[in-house]
Amino acid sequence: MNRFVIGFVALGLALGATQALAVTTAIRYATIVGTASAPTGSQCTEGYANQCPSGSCTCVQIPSATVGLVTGRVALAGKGTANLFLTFDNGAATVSASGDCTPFFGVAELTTKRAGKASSETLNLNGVSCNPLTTANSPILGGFGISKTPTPVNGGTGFGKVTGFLDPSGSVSLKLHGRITQ
Amino acid sequence: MRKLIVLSAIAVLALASPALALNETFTVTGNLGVATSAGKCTSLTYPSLCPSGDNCVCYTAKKTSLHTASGGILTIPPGTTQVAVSVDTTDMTSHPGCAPAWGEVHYSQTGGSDMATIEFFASLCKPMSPGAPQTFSGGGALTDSLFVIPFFGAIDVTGFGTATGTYFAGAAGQNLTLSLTATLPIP
Repeated sequence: MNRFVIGFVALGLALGATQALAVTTAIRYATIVGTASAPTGSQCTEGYANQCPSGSCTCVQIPSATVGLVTGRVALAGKGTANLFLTFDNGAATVSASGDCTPFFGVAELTTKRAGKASSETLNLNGVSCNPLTTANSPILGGFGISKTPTPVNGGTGFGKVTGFLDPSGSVSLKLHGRITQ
Repeated sequence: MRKLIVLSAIAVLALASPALALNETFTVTGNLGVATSAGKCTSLTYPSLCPSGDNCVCYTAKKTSLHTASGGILTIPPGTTQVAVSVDTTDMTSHPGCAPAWGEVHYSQTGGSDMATIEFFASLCKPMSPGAPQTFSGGGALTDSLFVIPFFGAIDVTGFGTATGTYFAGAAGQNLTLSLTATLPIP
């Protein structure tokens, strides 16, 4: 009888451990909110942001941004902070008489707590920021992917879309959602 | 006679208003596929910005059509629409992931003077679920155009806005839908 109980407990523990380590793929969400620095005179030098196809770029940093959850949605990264580096390729802007849209290449270095564990991962981003359209804010649209380098710690793999805006005071608000395995 | 006076007054008011703007959605459809020539697209200006040192793949479209979806005062008569998109596969965000896409649409009216050039930059992301299309998320501008508009005559309109769309790789028929929703100030 004792052997049976011990065996049953061992099986239960094994199943629990398997469940804790289970890898799942889902559409996951995150928000990043912070304050942008003034643009500097050249491209950022951080990872994926270190590129400037046209040769005429500026770098915007968003230090210590807040990484958060989207209510009712599966978390992409948990809660924590992020440092963002965005290279705006001004030389590749699509220009009209009334305004333009400027391509960007960026990284978001996330340090968060996910499922009770410390997590760090870097997101590569590209997209555009346009001059204000229907509101006073500049819309941001693009895509992202979880970088393999540096190796994510308690992170995931995958990619998705990013939307958001930059308001006139310099506040940046981004929402990410993507197909992420973790 | 009274109707004519009213219409004339409306036209004069419209012309006199410096803040008049159109919100238009330009939609291009077609069959997008990899061009036969290797490397980035060079036939149109903006797609040629794809970095020379990167592996850029040129996509062009057949059976194209450009129209305005918003039902505004702009109408686009039958014409020829050229689409070129350079996709930078070297600088994808991840594998799979989202690639920088440098695109341009050029339209010219058949037998007329209407024309338009749309430039856009977008992130072209792989499908997020089985059976879903790839998606464009970005922005662009109507960088040059000439349209004949009722009451205004032939005017040069430019504007900018968000560019979104879908692309079913390998599918036959109309596998590309790309829309530029732009605000166009009327001079």
